[in-house]
Amino acid sequence: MEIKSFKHSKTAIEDQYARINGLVNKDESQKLYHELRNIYYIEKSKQVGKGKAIKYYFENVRLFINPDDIFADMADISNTPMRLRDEEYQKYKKYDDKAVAIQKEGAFWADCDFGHTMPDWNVVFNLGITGIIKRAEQYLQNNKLTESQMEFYLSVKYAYEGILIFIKRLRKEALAVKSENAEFAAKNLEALSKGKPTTLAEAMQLYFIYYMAQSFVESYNNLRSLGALDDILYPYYKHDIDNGICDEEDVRELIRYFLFKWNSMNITANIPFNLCTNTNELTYLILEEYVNLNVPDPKIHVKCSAQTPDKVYKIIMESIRHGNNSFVFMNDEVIKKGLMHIGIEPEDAKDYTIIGCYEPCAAGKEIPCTLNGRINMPMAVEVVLNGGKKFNSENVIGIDFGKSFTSFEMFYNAVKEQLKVWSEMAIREINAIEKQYPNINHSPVLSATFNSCMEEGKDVYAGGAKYNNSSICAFGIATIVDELIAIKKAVFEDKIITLSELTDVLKNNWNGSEVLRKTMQDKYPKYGNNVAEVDELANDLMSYMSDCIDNKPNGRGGVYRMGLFSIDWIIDYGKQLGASADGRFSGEPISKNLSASVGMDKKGVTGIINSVTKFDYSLAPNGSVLDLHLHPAAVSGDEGIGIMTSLVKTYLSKGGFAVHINVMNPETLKKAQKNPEKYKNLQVRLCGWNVYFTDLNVEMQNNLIKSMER
Amino acid sequence: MSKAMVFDIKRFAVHDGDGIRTTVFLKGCPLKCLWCHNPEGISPKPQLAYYSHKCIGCGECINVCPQKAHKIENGMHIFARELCTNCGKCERVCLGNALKLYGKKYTVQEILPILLEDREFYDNSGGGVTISGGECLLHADFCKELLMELKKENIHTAVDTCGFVPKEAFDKVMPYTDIFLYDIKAIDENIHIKCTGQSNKIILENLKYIDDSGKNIEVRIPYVPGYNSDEKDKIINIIKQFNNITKVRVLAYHNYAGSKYDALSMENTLPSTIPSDEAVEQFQKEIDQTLM
Repeated sequence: MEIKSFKHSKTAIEDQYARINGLVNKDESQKLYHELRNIYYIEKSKQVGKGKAIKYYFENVRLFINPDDIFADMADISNTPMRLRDEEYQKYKKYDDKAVAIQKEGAFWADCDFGHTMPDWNVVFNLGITGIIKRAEQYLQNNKLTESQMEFYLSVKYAYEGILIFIKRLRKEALAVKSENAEFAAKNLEALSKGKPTTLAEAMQLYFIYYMAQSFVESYNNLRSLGALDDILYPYYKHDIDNGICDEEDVRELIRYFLFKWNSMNITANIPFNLCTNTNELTYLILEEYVNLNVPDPKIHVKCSAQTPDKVYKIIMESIRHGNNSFVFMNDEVIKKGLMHIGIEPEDAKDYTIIGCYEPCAAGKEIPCTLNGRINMPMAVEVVLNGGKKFNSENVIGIDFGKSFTSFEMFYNAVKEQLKVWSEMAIREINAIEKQYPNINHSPVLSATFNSCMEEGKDVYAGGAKYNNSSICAFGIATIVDELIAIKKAVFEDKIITLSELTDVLKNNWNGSEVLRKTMQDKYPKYGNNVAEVDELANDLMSYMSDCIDNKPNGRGGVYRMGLFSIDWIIDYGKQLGASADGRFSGEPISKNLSASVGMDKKGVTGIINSVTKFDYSLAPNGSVLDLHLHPAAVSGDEGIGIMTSLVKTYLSKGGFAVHINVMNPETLKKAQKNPEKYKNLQVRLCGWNVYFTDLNVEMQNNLIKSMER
Repeated sequence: MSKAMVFDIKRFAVHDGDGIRTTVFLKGCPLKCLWCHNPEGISPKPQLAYYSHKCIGCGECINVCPQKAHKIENGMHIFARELCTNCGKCERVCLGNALKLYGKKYTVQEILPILLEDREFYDNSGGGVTISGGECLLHADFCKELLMELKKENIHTAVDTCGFVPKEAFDKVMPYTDIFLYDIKAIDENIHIKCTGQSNKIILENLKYIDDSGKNIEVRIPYVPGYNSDEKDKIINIIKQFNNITKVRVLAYHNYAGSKYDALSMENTLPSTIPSDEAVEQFQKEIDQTLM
């Protein structure tokens, strides 16, 4: 393999994408967009217009070659056809005023999600760019096509002709650079200009070309997984080894270049891949090189089943303990069951991939729109207590149930009713905007990889995928359960306070009621401690939310999927909430993902795992996760690896959906907060992603420190 | 049905034998080690601890105390220990968790379900249940019953002991114990007396007794500079003479327990010098080499 060592090129690759931003000519870039915009709007069919605009972009955009990179993919992406989508969105969005007002108060959120997709990588790799063009041309020869089918196939043809031109232009420019690495890239690009990839380097190069076309040109940041990387690349690896093209060290070198390049992309959304669908030699090479690189991106979803080898766990646990925690462990069995719960056929569920943080999709078959909506569950309690309004607002955002609740059941049913109303409202809003998807987001690049789209002649955003689903996350489970239990005990059982007195206390943010606040916080049982009464309430509520959301029809011929994760919304939605009956002060963050309220998991990690795994997480098919925080002293030495592994295995075997781990001493985090320059490389697993701790805002840093202190 | 005084139940215990374990701490100990990090385990009776830094001054304890042992004067909480009968009523109402009663009686039937909660973690990690103290074998009958029940459930069992108990206590638990965690603090009898208040003669005899019986033993050595640090070579020499010592763990002495002594109104006997990580690692290394 005639390339310079990765060690030599590393620094030159690290900031290459950021560097080209500085080289872009703004006027030239604006002019190009103006021209492709004209092409789009002149066309009678927007579908065809988008395909032509993509082609025009690739024909004319300014390209960049880094002489030290062995892959080529860089272009001026400051003004791509992606912007057409945003223009259309501004035209077609129309929301109900009342629903918008309620959303502004932080009760729920509903909108489109164009951000969570993955192509059918099998089609990309098995056909190659030329193969996809050929396939579109074959469909076009059919003389019985409807007009819209014809337009769809044409848009695919144009878009992919554009990608092919992109490959050829990159090759030409790479050859002009005269460096070993650019020549290597040129050779691989030449192969891709003629057909599908055959070598490992060609396959890796194709990943970057396709990613650029879908996630920067056609749309933005919407390609959210490289798929089953070890499985997809295995045949190319085998080909290279068998034919003497690469030896193991060459393969490692390619992997280093490949992974590091993803890490160097300055994209806001993470781009993960998954491992261990079928663990093979390449799995270990990828893992080992990834661990050695010690970078936060790309993220890795580890598909776990009884077959997952212990060696895989060992490598990953060592990495996590060492501070690189880009790993999420996913439960094969529960995820497949969850997808089947929303009507996905077993064969399709089998090939699931995680896109984004924890959200599964049937690869190449489903557009799941995993972040359409959010329901801020704890707000329902506040609004029911206060006759349909938040404590600090005069706007009516909920139902006025009155004040005369004679039993906890009655109160709880009111809270449920409120949650149902907001869920229905969110669904209505999402469905309305989704009906406009065919006018907004024509996606020939992505659609061409979906076999169903090609068979039907329909864009993915016109409902061409086999499953066209949508998703809503209900979050803050620990906070709402802790509030409800505290109300049940204090108001209806111990009768130490009436509901209207409690409402006044909460409106006053516990001012002058510290004794009561401490009682509510410490003397009543809390979510996450394996207490039957509390866990039963949590399960009942989660099942109820599943009934409100799962399998409800969406606006694209598909159904809804409920999720139970909260990522970092806990800060902003917490700010919108008044004080809560669990002892929380007004504006404080609410509980995260499946975790207990901060400091309330008093029975430790085994307690929280026992507690949360009582629920059937296939009822939350859009995903859920538990954050485990472990002190370094608990998992030191060889034994520590075994301890970490058995925690994960137990969580999964008891029915957990996904889990990730931080091994962190809170004292270290405090030091990092004070001396950020000394802790630049300190990574923490935040929610769906791991980040450098010092990059977090102070609120998030404090939340993390508090939850680790216990 | 025998009962025992339990002062703590620790889940996710990862240093009390192999794997993930739950450790039950029984109250009462025949030794009084100067460095004891569980002083609440020494007395066989229940004891109320008062952590003054946690007190929020709410006065709830005053309302429930039948002995009037709590009062607030000039905003300060005053606890009259001599009046306290350790009934624990104040602990239940204390909002700052400043009052804690160490020592609650459990029957085997009461404690068993708690210990079974984490059984999947034991199974997946090669862990189990450890009975510790204080000196758990002061409650040999309770231990025997509990261990029998655990073995019926096929759970791995460990008994953590200082060894200063009659041989008969070992006879009772031996058949149901998978491993003994056995403390060796010093070999020189005088040093042992100075540090623990008792001779080590019985301790070394008992160690030989269980070694001869073929049971697995993990030896644990608290490493306290200036107290037993010169005993290193002698300890290593003794360990060599036994056949069934599967592991030796050097435990670095720490002085985190200071606040417990204060909270219990006990005289704080903790040595001030903490061993360096290097010294502990070095000791552990020498022992591991000997064992190999």
